[in-house]
Amino acid sequence: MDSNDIQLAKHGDQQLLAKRLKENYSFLVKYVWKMSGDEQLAYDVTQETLVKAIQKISQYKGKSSFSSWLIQIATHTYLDIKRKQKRALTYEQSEAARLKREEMTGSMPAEWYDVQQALLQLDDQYRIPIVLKHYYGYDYEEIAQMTKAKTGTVKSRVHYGLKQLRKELGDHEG
Amino acid sequence: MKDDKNIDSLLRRTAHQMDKEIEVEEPSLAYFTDLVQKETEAWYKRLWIELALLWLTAAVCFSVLAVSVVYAPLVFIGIQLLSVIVLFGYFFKESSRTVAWRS
Repeated sequence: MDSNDIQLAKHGDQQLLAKRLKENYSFLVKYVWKMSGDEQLAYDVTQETLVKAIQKISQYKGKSSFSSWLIQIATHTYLDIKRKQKRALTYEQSEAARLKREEMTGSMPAEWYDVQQALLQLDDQYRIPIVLKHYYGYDYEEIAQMTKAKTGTVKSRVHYGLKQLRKELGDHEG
Repeated sequence: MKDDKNIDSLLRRTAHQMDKEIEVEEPSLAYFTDLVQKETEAWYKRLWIELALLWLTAAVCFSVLAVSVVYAPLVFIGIQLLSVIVLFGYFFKESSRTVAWRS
């Protein structure tokens, strides 16, 4: 999305904004899907992200790309939903979520299945920076901005997350 | 798989593979246009309601302030009178109890 498009969308060009949101829709769904391992949640979070993006388009400064801005909103929306779910989640529901995640990765080749499974075992605070860094190639500062954490914290989380991931994958191999 | 480069390339390959595996059902442009229109309208509606409530609250606050400025001396005298009555009541009650003990 170039700066001219941003200005037009910010000043009420609804058609242009709709077009830009459509262009980023699949990207967003895939991001949340990979991060959560839950198809339904990916669509729900994406929908809520779109609504928030429409409401907050005037707050978009254009410092980062439009897709990064959407990822930032999606990450916060995902964490909010997870926080609410955590309060209400019963054992059966969390088991169902786990099975759903396994179902999603079940069709993948063994090596990638192991990686995705190991990744989904990690806490959100470690998984999200790893997904953003190693799946999407964002740098630490961008991730810090997206997750509202300090750059140092992001670095240490990625480091710890990768350590856990290596351990988990080592266990699988062994 | 142990070193950073290996895990990085493995993660990238996994992401690439997942991108290929995941099939997203993308709605049509009309859906997005409709969503943008509806949400923008809803947003402005909410904004108007919030502004109206803000003005209402401000009006109530100003009214209360105006009333309290006009009646401040009366309120002050009323509180003083109430305090004196309560204190005298307490004094008489305590002194009558003390007299009762003495007798």
